[in-house]
Amino acid sequence: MGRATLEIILQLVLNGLAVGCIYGLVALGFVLIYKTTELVNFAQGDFMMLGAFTCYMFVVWYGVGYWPAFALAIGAVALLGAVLDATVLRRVIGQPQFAVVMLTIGLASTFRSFASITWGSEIYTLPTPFSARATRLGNVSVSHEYLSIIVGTVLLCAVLYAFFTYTKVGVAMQATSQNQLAAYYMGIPVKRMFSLIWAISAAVAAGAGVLLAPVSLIDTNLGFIGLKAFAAAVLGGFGSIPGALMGGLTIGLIELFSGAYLPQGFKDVAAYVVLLVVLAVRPQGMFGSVGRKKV
Amino acid sequence: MSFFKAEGLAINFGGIRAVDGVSFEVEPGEVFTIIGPNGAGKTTIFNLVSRIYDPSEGRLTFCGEDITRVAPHEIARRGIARTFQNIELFEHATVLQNLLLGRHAHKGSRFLEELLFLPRVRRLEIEHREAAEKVIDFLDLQPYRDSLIINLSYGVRKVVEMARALCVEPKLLLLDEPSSGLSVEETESMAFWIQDIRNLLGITVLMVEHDMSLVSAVSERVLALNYGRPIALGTVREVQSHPEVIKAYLGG
Amino acid sequence: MRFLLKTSYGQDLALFRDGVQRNCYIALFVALLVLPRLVPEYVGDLSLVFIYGLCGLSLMVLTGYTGLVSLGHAAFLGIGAYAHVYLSQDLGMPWIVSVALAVTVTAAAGVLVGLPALRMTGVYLAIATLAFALIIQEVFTRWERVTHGLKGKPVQKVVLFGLPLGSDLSFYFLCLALLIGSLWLTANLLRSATGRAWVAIRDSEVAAQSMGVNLAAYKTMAFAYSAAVMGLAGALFAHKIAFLAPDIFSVLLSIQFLLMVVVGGLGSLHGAVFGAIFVAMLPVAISQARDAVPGWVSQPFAVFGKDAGSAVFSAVDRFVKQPGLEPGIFGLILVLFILFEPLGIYGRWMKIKIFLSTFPLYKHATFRRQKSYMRSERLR
Repeated sequence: MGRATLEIILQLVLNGLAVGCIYGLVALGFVLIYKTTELVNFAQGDFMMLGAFTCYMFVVWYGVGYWPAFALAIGAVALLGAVLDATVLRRVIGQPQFAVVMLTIGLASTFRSFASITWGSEIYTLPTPFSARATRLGNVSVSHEYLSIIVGTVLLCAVLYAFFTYTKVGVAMQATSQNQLAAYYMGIPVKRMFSLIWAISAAVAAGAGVLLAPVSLIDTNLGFIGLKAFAAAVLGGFGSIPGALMGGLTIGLIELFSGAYLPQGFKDVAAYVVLLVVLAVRPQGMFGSVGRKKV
Repeated sequence: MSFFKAEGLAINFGGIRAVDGVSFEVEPGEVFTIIGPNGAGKTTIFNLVSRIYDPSEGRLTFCGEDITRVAPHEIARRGIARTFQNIELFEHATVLQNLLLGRHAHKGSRFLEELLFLPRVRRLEIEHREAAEKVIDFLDLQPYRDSLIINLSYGVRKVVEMARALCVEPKLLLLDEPSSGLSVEETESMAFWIQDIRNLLGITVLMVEHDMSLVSAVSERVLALNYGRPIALGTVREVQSHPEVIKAYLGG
Repeated sequence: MRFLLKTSYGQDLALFRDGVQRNCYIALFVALLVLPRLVPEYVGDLSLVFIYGLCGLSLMVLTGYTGLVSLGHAAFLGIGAYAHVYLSQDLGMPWIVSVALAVTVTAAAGVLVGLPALRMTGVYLAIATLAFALIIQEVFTRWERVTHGLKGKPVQKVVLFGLPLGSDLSFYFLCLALLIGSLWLTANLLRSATGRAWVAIRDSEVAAQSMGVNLAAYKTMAFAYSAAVMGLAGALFAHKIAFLAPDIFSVLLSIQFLLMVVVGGLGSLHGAVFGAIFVAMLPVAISQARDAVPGWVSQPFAVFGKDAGSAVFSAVDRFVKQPGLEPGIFGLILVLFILFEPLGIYGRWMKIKIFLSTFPLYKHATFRRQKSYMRSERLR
């Protein structure tokens, strides 16, 4: 009896971590953009959706292999992110935050519409090399799809960490995030940095979308996961990258466990309740810091 | 009963002790200035007095009442008004609206009364308007009455900032670097205004200032700070000739 | 150029700048009274415009004047709607009492959202309101005893003081009266201390505090008042759509309200009304365009022969009739307005008026925005 419960809990933990990785990745993108440009991107979840749809399109419509399609999807959405920054977002630098929030919300709506026009409003599944395969560890079934999410996330984070710490571009980006004007004076092409960071965030979200696709089914409402990723970013502390991941994993676990042990309906809103509690009690989340205007 | 007293004020920001053991008393009707190099903690003291920060140690007393832990919005009601170093005006409002906001501490009307705009509210509004107009006359702001703040020059904004503080009808006025960013002529006008505020309006002035000519023109007593600690307190001449002050701030 | 001679302080306090403006509004009012006679088929749509006007007013007070961004205001609409229907139909209360109680309940919900909001700034608040709205939507779905959940809840016609006001025409006048009343109450608030305090909170919280504004009290008041107006709109909305279901009060609806505020012009009551007209009429315009556009686009192609023309017609028709297109159009309009017309319709109207009144001395830089680059400047 106890052994079965342990297995159930392990299963929940595994699934929760996998889902949490997705939230963490999308939240990572949020935090990257916020740290560098101080903008909050409400369209992050829709980048994820576009990534999933693009990969689906390449695999199912054009018969491209899974891995090349993955790369193409990430590349395409990254390009979209960079172009978006260069054309639209650049114009709102310096405007009050409200305007930018509205802008990204409008863009999110447009993306959703675009997706339903291009790919239709039905639900699709993405065939992958790890679909419907699982390994058994004792009595716990480890689905390869969930495993791919966790592994993919770890790899992606390692790449990002190396990029920001060891490359010139990464360090330049950190400088830009701290003081734009000083970065300009140091010869850093700030505008190009912004486009690059948008490209990276969009790519990370797209990657999350492709990893999630086999588990969750692809449809235009996938973007709403972005809202739950907000909860992850806030929980982790909005300016902290490791925080975003930790926040994501925590929310994933909370969601899975509320689905199993709480009445129906709590699973869907668990993330939002956590968000409100964190904002009310400790707005800087687990790892962030509170900023204050100096007068 | 002392007018305004700060005793052993101290505040820590993380590991930094921005203000350390500052004590001084302000007499009613005087102009008291705090000087010191940048980062000495002068504006921090103002922020402590107007309750934007909570002190880690120390006490503040005003008109016999302990105001150390009072809520920030209570300060205006008790008769302390301030200006800000980096001008915190309401940018998308007119000068007049900014000044009328300065009257908020004397509001007098309640939400439900305002909702229906009862005759009492109308009467109060006109009273507030008359008070604001007196301040406008005092500081010669008539041509700017209906201009939006974003359309005004820096010098005018500084005067509006002071006007707004005067609308509070304070007993104690905190002026944070009133001459920063002003030209020589504007600084001279500022000196006359500060003297008028003290002589004609009977308001006590507590000032933070860098411009020593302004300080010596209007102040009675001066407190010199360095790294958050007081190093000299006395008349302008006493402090100006104090060796530590010269070493830390005025130069030899 | 027309000069305004001011002879008393009372003039600045008045709702209308001068006799001319007052007469214009009186004429507008008379026109609205007569309008149902002229375009009887649009009476239903116009009632919706008035209800949306209340919604725009509500959000304008909170976001436009106090600067507190709310991404979940549709939740308050839903609370008002469900509360009113439950109280009047299930509990059998008289209409006025039911509406008054629904407004109170919604205001209380507003206070509930406002209290934690006191500790949050800017974007965090927006995210919190979004989370709140999503939770409330779930509550609507699960609390079946009151809301009938996903099965939906039909709404009966208005019965005021025992008189049935079921017709479109009487509902139109009811909505018009309530809109005008709310506009008057809000304008009163905005020209007195409360309104000034709200604007102060938006522009500089620190300075507002130093001038004696109790931030917590006024932010809560803003939430409560905004939610109350939304509750009133909700009660009317319930009658208008005649059938309540949880998925009506979605994030998309909240975004439409935000669109109202942005398109209309932040920080003005006129903006709320312009925005409401725009957003309420937009679906009508879209559906008319859906019928007309395929025809226009395929016209030039008819030159190449009948087959080419009809092929283009059916392609464009298929594209335009897609259901997913409407939110995209809303999103696109929002983006375009933020980029090119940030002051909204009212802002454009003001610019035109100033241009005409100062011609030929108009300065192009009159409305140029100040941009801020340093990080610290953008922290509030």
